[in-house]
Amino acid sequence: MDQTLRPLNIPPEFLLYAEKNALFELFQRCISSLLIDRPSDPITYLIDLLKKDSDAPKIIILGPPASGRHTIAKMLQKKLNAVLIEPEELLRDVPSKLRDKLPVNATVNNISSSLWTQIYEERLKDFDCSRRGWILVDFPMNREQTLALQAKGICPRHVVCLEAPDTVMIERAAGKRIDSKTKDIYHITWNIPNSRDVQERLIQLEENSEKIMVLRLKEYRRNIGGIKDCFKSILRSVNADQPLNDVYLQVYTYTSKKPRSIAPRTPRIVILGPTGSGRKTVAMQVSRKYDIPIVSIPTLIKQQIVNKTPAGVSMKSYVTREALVPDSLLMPIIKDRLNQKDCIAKGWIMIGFPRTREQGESLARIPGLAPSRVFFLDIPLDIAVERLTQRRLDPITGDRFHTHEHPPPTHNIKERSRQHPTDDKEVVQKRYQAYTIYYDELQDYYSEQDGIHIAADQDTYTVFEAVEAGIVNPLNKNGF
Amino acid sequence: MDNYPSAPNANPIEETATDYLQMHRIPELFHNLSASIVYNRPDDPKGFMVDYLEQLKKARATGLPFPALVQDTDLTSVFRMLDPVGLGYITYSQYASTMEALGITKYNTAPTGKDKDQISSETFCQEAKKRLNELNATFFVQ
Repeated sequence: MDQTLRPLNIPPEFLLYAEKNALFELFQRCISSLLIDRPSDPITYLIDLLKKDSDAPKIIILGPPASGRHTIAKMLQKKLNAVLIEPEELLRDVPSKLRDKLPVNATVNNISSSLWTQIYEERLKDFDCSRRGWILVDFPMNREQTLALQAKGICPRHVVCLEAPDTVMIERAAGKRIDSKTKDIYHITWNIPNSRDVQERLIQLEENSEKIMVLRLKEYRRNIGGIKDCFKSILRSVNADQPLNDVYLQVYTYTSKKPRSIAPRTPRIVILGPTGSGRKTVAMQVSRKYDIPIVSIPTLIKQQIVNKTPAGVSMKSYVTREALVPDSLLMPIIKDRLNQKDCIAKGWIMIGFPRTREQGESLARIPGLAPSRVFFLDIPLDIAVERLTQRRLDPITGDRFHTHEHPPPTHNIKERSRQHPTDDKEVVQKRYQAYTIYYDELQDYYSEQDGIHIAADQDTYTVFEAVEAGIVNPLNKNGF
Repeated sequence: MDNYPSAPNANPIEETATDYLQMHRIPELFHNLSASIVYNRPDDPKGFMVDYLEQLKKARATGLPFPALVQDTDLTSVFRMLDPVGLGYITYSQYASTMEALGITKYNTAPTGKDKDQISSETFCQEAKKRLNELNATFFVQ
């Protein structure tokens, strides 16, 4: 037997390992940095990159004048301990080699985009920026600067744009005051300084007068569209016309989330819910759209019984008694099925399992196969009963009907359509109760792992969309 | 990752990107790196990658062995698996399919002993080692 001809399979444990360590994203970052910088010695470059690579924040905050962007930026800076960079400050500390290139009376507005980009590039290369991360405010100010930044490879991970109508901004600016000594920002209505000394030092800046505000707002509106266009996928707009803390909370929540990853993932989905919640329907829709095999545990059990396998024979007694098949019999069958090639390659959608917390724990313990998404289809008993008791099957054509939603078209068909014995009202109620007994402990167990609850009493397409959103969106802070 | 389609309307920026990657053998580097990671599954992948790259860098400069999954001792073990009886020779088809199983696509198709269909352990190991070294030297040589 030629040893070299045995096929090689990547163990499923590796997929979980790769997901946990975000390997795909790591490789993606390495290769994109290589392509941006094109070093002549990639090996040394990669060593440095890997040593410096961190999850440090890279945030840009934009917004019209008086929207509170500097205040928000400062709050964010304190929370994240990142380096806050404002254009005026940066201009004051330009390193000598670039200082010569500055025009005579350098202000924030008369420096060329390419020079600005060089200044920022130098600053962002500093050790404190690469270690603590950075927050930029008020830069880039127009599309040209944005493109120049991106061409240099300076790419933020999150861009926040504060939005509010012009009238609100003008009104706000009228009440804005600056502490002449510390340059802190206050407001006569919303943010009065506590100490008398500070109050006496407050001055109103010329730039906040209504006339100048109108000009500044015009300038801002002219440029912001072009800038936003460049940051489409990482931009989030936040309504600035709300209390400061609400704005801050929204900004902070957004910047804490990792961007959605495009790493190939094998979805391992569990759909739970009482009888009548539409699990099979939703599972079929997802399976068809994303080409994921469905693993229905009740079907698996039935197959074992019908094929009279040793396991099937032992399970039969439990099934006929309507008792739960014990884990010791069930888990090996499930493990085998999930380790088959189609499940490893494409992932799986599981229905009808787990029923109890113990089963959930056993499932999580199979190496490499813990579910990545768990859905609870919630539906009240009476709606489930209504759905199921009105199901009818035409025994001749095999067509399925629902007396309320989708009735049989002719009188003849209606006459001959039958109800399945398990759809009888009392049977349905019993099956529903069987689910509810274990619902609390299951919900509890999966709430730690971010189980997703979906209202299943809506039409199939809405439920499907909700499930789809749950699968596609990153579940937690880690981005998957 | 090794087959970039050469479309007639390929984006010029994309072309120089692929040229750069291929010149510095980046795809092969990441291929070998990934293979090492799959096999070793280190707790600290970044640190592991740094070690791998440093070893590669030193090997490039000094001629120390490259980081490799298949070591010399593995080659002798492989040969022994192919020749369980201990004849001291393997057939040409065994030689060829083992080369491919090791990931070596370019190898000497006329090794010593092919005419008698008897490739010796020495011939096999030397050729395999030489080719594996080429595959592991994932950097640009001026």
